[in-house]
Amino acid sequence: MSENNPVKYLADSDTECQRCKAVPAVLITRKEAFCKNCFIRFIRGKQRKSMIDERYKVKYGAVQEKIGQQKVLLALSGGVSSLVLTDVVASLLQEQIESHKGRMGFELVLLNIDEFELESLNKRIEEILPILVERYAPVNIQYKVLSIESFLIDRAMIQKVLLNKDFTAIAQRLSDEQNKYTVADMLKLCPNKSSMEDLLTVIYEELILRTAFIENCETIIYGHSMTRIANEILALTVRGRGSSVYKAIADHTVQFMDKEFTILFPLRDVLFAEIIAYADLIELNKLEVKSTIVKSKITKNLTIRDLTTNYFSHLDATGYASTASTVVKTGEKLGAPQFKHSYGRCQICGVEIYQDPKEWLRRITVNDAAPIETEEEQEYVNLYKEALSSSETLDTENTHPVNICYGCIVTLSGAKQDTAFVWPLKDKDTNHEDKKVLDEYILTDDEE
Amino acid sequence: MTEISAKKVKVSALCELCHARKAVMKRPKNLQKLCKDCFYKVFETEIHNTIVDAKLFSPGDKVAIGASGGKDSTVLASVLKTLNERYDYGLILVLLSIDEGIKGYRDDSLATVKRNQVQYEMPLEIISYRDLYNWTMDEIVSCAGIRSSCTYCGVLRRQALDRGAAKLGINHVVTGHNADDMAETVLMNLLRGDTARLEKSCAIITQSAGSPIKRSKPFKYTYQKEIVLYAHYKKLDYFSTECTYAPEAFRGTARELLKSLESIRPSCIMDIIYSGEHLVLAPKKKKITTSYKTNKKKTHTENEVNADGSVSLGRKKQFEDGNRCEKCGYLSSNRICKACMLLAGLEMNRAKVSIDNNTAVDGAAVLTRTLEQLSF
Ligand code: SF4
Ligand SMILES: [Zn+2]
Ligand SMILES: [Zn+2]
Ligand SMILES: [Zn+2]
Ligand SMILES: [Zn+2]
Repeated sequence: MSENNPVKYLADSDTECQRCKAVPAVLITRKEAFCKNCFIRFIRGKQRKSMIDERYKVKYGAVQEKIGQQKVLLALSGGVSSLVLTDVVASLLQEQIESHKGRMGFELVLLNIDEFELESLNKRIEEILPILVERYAPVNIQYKVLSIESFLIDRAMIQKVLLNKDFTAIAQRLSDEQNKYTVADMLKLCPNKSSMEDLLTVIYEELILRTAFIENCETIIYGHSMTRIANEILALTVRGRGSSVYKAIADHTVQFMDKEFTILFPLRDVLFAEIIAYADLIELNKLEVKSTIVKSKITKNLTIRDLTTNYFSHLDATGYASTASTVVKTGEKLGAPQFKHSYGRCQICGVEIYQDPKEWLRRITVNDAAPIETEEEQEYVNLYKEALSSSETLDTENTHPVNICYGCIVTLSGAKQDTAFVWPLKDKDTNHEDKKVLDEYILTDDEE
Repeated sequence: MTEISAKKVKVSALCELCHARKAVMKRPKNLQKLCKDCFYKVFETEIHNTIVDAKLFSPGDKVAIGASGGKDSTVLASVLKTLNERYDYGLILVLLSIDEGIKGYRDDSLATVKRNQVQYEMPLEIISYRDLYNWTMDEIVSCAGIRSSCTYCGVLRRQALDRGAAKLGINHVVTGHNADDMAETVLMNLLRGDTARLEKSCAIITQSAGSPIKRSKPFKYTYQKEIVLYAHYKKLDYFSTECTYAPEAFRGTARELLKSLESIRPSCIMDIIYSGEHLVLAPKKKKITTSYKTNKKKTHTENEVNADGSVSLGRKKQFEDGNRCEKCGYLSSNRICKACMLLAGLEMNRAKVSIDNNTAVDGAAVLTRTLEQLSF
């Protein structure tokens, strides 16, 4: 594997750094030899370029007035990429403080969302955060740790969701005493690990947006490397969420609660191997929060993300390392799907639905039986009906249809009929930002 | 009556659709436990739905089935015959086979197609590379190397099928490409960054520029594993040896990935196709360069060079032009068609080989050079 690692380390070499031509190089990447400082500057340069906008600079006078104080939210998982991004951004703030007499172009807020499988981590994020932030004094960095449980704001939104054979979904409100679910409980009801993984992304995304809203952050930044973005593109495609690729991986803006947020991936041009090299060089790696769970060698026990991750590392090892960059470039060229109508938004994950997934699936997954031909066969049908009526059937009263996207249908399929699946459903037609307006301004709703 | 003793099928062992017969198989697409009859029913109905939704055929159409003797095309011939009769499509079906000239593979599989001709009572036309191009694949591989075999073969087959169809007075060829192939293509186009093909990777009907012949894939949503099961239960006569010239290594990695994915989530083949139907290129951003903003008239329109080295002219223009290859007279958007271009490269090579008897010619390099000539 090391032989094909895109980054080659040089131990006691006489190779000179090709950038400064002053000191020996420590590594070779992209066919160029770098010394420690030049490599660090090279990686930082990627971020500087991505956040070159006026709003991230130190502003004075009229410009400052017009743009206002900016706040940037950094999604910090504790993994090596997010640590490197923190370092790169904090170093920018340090430079600004030095050259602008203590002024910064923006405030930085680190947000960590408590992992679901907390016990599996090698250290607590709370331990590393103070150490991390301390490194960049006098830059003042705020941090927040949020429990995944805060995803639930309104217990009344939780409903039991069932997928029918014809791919329609129905939901049923829960009585107060039934409704004892925590977010962890809901995740445990997922039919399989890949489904859980899928819904965890939904939770993270929403929590990050909400925090940005509450903290008044105009920008959200992620530490995704090029390799990670490529992986994301592939995983979304595999999960039937191809329509989201164009948004999910590009630097873009989103509307949330009537506000616009800029989402950036400042390390999108950096290979994962380069991120690791950076962390090694400045000894950030000792702060890394890792899962101690050893990934299974058996495919059956892996998730879709595990498989796509393995795929890319396998390509790196077999000399197809450029594939990640190809995939990212391809993903960046994608746009919004073109379909005549929209089928509204998914009530589980919130994406826009372009092509009716129920209809699509029904045509290619037929559920009609071949005709019954003999008396014996008819007897079996009767037997079956008897058995069915004696066993408890799900009460279908008080159910109502739910609009769900293809990706969520896939995620839900296989959920058991009896335990079902529960989730805080969004409204069908109105976006939640609209809902907020309704909640705030309408006093009574007689139509209900 | 033997049924009496066979009775006592447990209710839980009954087919999940009819509840009348014993389930004998797990359906690969969704792991539903089904009896044989219900499997046939859903398998055939789904293909029928695909055909109807895409309006593939009209009554009276003469359609050529690209038949290789392999399981996909054998099942396609069988199912199309069944559906044509059941739903009165009113089609005239013909088998069209290509003989690439691959010893130990194509000669045996063609024998299968000849038996199919009798079994399905369909006329059969065989077009050989040797007759058409004066080259067999075996000769091409020995001259150009094994690595690029499928590239040559693909270009030549495309034209051979077109010519075969034209000879039969047919303008529609159906092929046995299945859902697994579609999903693999979506992944490959993403992984190779083939944006020119990405949008079309899930198209059920394709027509190459300038060609009067359309191709379609009635098995677009049909799982490979189900095709195998159908052939097995229906005891269809097919040939299961793979071509001696294995597919290229990189495609192999995508195929492996797809297999592992399918093992943890059987629906993933459909899921990838659904995704693929939503992958579209964003409208090209026009870069406004302030210094040239005024009065810069378009003096020349740039032609985009595709990943395969060809050049896309405006699509409509190609059709209007109806250009023909200067060498072979075949419809082509370039002066010389792709097949002739490849063959010219081979001829040069063959001459060289016979002169200095150098067998270690780098075929891939020749191919790249040849394809480069296609771009202007
Ligand atoms: S595998 Fe390649 S060489 Fe063999 S028949 Fe198919 S395209 Fe031709
Ligand atoms: Zn240097
Ligand atoms: Zn959804
Ligand atoms: Zn049945
Ligand atoms: Zn020609």
